[in-house]
Amino acid sequence: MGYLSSAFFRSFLIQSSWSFERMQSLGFFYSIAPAIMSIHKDKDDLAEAYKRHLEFFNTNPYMAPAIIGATIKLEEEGASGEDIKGLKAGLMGAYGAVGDSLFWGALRPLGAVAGVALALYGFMWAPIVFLIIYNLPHIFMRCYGIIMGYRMGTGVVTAIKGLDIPGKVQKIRVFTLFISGILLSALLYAVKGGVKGGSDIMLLFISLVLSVYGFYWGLEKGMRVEMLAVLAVGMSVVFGLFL
Amino acid sequence: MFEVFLAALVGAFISLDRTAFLQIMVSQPLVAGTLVGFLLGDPLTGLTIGSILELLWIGDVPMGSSVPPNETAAAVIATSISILTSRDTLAAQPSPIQIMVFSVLLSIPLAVLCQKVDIYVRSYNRRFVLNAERLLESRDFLRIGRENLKGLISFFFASFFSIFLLLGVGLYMTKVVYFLIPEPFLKGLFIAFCLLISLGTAVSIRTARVKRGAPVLFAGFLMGMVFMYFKD
Repeated sequence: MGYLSSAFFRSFLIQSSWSFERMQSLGFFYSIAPAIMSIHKDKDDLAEAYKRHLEFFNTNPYMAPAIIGATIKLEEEGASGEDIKGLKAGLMGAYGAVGDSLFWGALRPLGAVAGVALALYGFMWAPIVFLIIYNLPHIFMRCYGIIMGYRMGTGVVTAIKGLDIPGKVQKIRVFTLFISGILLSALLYAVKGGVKGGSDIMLLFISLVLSVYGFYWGLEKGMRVEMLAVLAVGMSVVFGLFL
Repeated sequence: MFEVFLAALVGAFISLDRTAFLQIMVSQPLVAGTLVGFLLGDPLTGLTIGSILELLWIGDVPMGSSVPPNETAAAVIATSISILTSRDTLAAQPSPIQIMVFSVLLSIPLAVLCQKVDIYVRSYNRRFVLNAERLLESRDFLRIGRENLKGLISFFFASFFSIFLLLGVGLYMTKVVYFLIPEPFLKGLFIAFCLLISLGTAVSIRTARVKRGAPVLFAGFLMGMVFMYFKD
């Protein structure tokens, strides 16, 4: 299917003209345009179809191929404009929430924490590990999405439900916390050259735990991270004066 | 001067990954910093600065209409300033940790400034949808797709000009101001590196949002200590 693969590749550009007002509307249009042109031969039909795909649209970008696939299926079957609009509107909210929590809320922190921990252990290829952790599920979701969307049409909802994303998000978060622990010991490893003797390392460890706890408390109290960063540097400078 | 231009050019291409194209996370500080480091001949400095910046904004996500601080611009600018300052004035590679921390500190408000630029671009892009609607009215279908791609240009140039300008000014300023700081004030910046990483850790723990997660965190720490024991 020529236009299906074209829609897949074009979906990487779904946010190219992202704007507050219409968000991904033009990007969605761009992805689906070749398919629409092949499906609708009648000039008025074509104009009508184009018009409904330029309307407001926004979802998680990685989940978009699933919606695009399902939309193409419905267009091919000659479903009514109202049905197609309903499908898009229904899926974009649900998939947006589930995709955001999986990719932005869970996988990106996991990859980032693992990458930083490896970097502190001194591995130059840490960024590559981050990219792999994030992009294997990302690319899988795009491919699976467009295929299942096209194959199942409206039924794509059950296919995505079958992936049990909320359950996976929870597991990834626990794992992220575990890696955060590793990150703390990686920090000890990175700076232990700067201190001498076991008692100094113990002191360093205690101050690390206290500072993490302090920053956590500050964040919970609603302090901005930028402000805490400036505070951290300021405190260090003052402390350094007494060294 | 040429290197500032080059860093801004590459930085602007990397910045497209934030929103406009791919979104494979090469725009994350850990990756972007290392890439710019490679470009300027000092990947280790890029990796270190990327590590400091990576976790600070990991909880700020581009959901719905929210626009997070621009950590990509911060990573590109901080890495370039650190590498170029160290090389031109001290002939040092990798950068001394003090210069890295100084550049990171400088780049943090710039991330917020570039966030404002990002917000402006997203309002500016409105015109492309309006153009598309006009083309649809006049049934000029084949030119509509091009309007989507025009957004790439606005995203690219917004990043390019803001990185170029802020990096140029920041680099010039650093080369002067940094060497005016009295020695005792610089001693503590080594500690600042530890504190900034632990701030990042605090952000990531908070982002994980696991109830009663302390044992998990501790288990990870022990595991890391075991790993450290075997690595030496």
